[in-house]
Amino acid sequence: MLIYLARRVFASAVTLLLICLITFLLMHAVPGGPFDARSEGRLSAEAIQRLEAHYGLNDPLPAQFLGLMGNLVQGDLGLSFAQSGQPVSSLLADKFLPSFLLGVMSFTFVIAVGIPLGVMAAVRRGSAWDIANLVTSTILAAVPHFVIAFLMLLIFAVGLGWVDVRLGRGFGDSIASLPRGILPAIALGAPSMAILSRLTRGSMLEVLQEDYVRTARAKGLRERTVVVRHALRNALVPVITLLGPIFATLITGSIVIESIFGLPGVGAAFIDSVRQRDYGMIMGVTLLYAVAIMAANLVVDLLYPLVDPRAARRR
Amino acid sequence: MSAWETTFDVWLGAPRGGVWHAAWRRFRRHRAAVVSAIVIAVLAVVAIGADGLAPYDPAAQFLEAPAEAPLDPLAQRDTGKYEAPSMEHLLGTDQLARDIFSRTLHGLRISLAAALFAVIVVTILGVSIGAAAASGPGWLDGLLMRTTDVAYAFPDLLLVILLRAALGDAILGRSSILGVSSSVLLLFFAISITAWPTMARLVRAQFLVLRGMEFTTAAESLGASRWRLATRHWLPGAAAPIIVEGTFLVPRAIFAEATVSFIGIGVSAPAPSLGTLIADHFGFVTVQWTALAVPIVVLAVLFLAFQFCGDGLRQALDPRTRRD
Repeated sequence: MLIYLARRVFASAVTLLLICLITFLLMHAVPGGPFDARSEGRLSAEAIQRLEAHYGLNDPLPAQFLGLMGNLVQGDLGLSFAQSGQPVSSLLADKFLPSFLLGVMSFTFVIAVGIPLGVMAAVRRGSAWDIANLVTSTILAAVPHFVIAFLMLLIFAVGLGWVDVRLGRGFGDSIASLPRGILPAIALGAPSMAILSRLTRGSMLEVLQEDYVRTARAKGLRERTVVVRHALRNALVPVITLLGPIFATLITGSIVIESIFGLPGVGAAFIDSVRQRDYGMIMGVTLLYAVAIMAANLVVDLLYPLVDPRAARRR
Repeated sequence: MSAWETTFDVWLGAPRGGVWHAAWRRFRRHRAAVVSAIVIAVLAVVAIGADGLAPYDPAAQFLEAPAEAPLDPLAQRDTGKYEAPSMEHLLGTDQLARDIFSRTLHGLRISLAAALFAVIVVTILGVSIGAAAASGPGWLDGLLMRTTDVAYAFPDLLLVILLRAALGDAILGRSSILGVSSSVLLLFFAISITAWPTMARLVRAQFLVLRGMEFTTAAESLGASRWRLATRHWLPGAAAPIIVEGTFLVPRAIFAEATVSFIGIGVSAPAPSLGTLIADHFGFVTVQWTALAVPIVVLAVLFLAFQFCGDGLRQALDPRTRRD
C-alpha cells in the first residue's frame, strides 16, 4: 500500500514538472511581455527593458525555467507582475477560499442529489418518476453550464428578485455569506449531477439483477436494506470512477461560473492573468488546478478498496 | 474477404450479409439514433446551404436612419437594432442591427465545420499515438502513455485558453479556409490538443485486446510484420470504437468552443460560431430573448442528436454492449 502510494506520488511529481514546462513554454509564446500589457504606453521602451532585466525576463529561457523550478521546490511561486509585485502565493491564498468553498458545495450537490436520484430512478424503473428524471437529466446535460448559470441569474435575480445580481460579492468572507454560493454551486454542478444520476441508474439496474440481490431478498431482508446495503455498494464502483473526471469538470467549469456570478475566485483571476500575461499568476493557477485534479484522482483510486475490497488485492 | 471482415467475424460469428449490413440492421432498431441521424443530416444540409438559405449576409447591418432628426443629439441616432422578429427578419436583429436568423445559420455552419475539423485532428493524433503505443516497443508505450497522463492532468480549459493566447492570430493571419476563419480553426485546434488523450487510450486498449487474440497469433505465424498486423488487422478491429468516440467528440468540441467564446477569449470574427452568438446575445436578453434562445436550442439539439447517434452507433457496432 505504502509502496503504491509512493509510486503514485512520484509519478505525479514527474507529471507536474512536465505541466510546468508546457505552461512555461506556452505563456512565453504568448505575444508581448507582462510590462507592455500593463503600462498601456506609459512606460518607455527603456524602462520596460530595465524592468524585464530586473525580473530576469531577458535571460535565456532554460535558465529562467530552472530558476523558476528552484523557487517552486522551495514553495515560492514568485511575484505577480500585474498586481504591483505581490507574491503569487498570497494572492492565490486570498482567491482560494471562495473557489474552494464553491467547489465543495458543488461537489456535495452533485453527489448528494445525483446518486439518490439515480437510485430512485432505478428502483422505480419505468415509473413517471423515472421518466421525469430522464427528461430533466437529458436537458441538463445538453446545455452548457454557463447557460444554466445565466438563466438562473435571469430567473432568480432579474425576474423574481429573490437574490442580488451581484451574488458573488464577499462570498467566503463569513459563514453568513455561504448561502450566496448555493445558486452558483447548483449551476456549476447541474450537468455533472445529471450525468452521475444516469450512471448510477444504469449501474443499479445491472446490479439489481444479480444473483446475490435475489439471495438477499430471499433471505427476507427488507427492500431498503437490499437496495442500500447490498446493491448500492456494488453499484457505486463505476460511479466512483466518474468522480475524478467530475471533479476536473467542476474545477475548470468554475472559471466560467465565477465570472458569471462575480465570485472573487481563482478562475476569474486566471482569465485576468492570461490577458495581462502575468506569468507568475498563470503558472500558479495552472499548478494549483493540476495538483487539485491529481490529488482528486489519487483519492478516488484510494476509495476503490473501501467499496470493493477485491480492488486492493488486484494492485 | 477483407481484414475488416476477418476481424469482425471473430466477434460476431460471421453474420450473413456482411458486418456493416448487420451493424446497419442493429442501428435501425435504435429509434432515437435513427431520428438523431436524420436531424444531423438535416442540420448538415442547412449548414452546407447556409449561403443560399440565409436571407442576408451574416455581417450585413440593417441600420435605418430615423424619420426625423432627433432634437436631442444624445438620442439614439440609428434604429434597426434589436428589432423584433418580423417577416423581414425572422428572428429580429442584434445589437449591431444584423439579421439574427442569417447569423444563426452561418453559426451552425461554422460550428459544425470546425467540430469536424477537431474530430479529424483528434482522430489522426489519437489513433497514431494509441496505435504506436500498443504496437511499438515497450519503451515507446511507456513514453507515449506518460505523455497522455500529462495531457490528462492538465486542466483542459486552461490549456485551451493558454494555447489560444499563445497561437494568437499571428500564424495564419486573418485568412479563412472553406469559409471558416483561421481563428476559429485555431481555437478548435487548441480544443483538439486537449481531447486526443481519450482517443489515444481507447485505441491503445482496443489494440491490446486484438493483439492477444488468436487471429493475431495466426497472422504472426504466417509471417505478417508488425506494421501489417497494426494496419491490416488491428486498425480495422478498432474502427468501431474510433467512430463512436469521434461522434461523441463533435458536441464536446462545440461546447468547449462555446465556453471559451463565452469567457471572451474565443473568436472575434465577423462570421459567428454558435458559441459567439450565445455569448453576444446574453447582453440583450431582456430586450429580445429569442435571439438567445434560438442558438441555445440549436446547440442543445446538436448535442442530443450526436449523443443519441453515438449511443446507437456504439450498440450497432459492438454487439457486446447491452441495451439499457
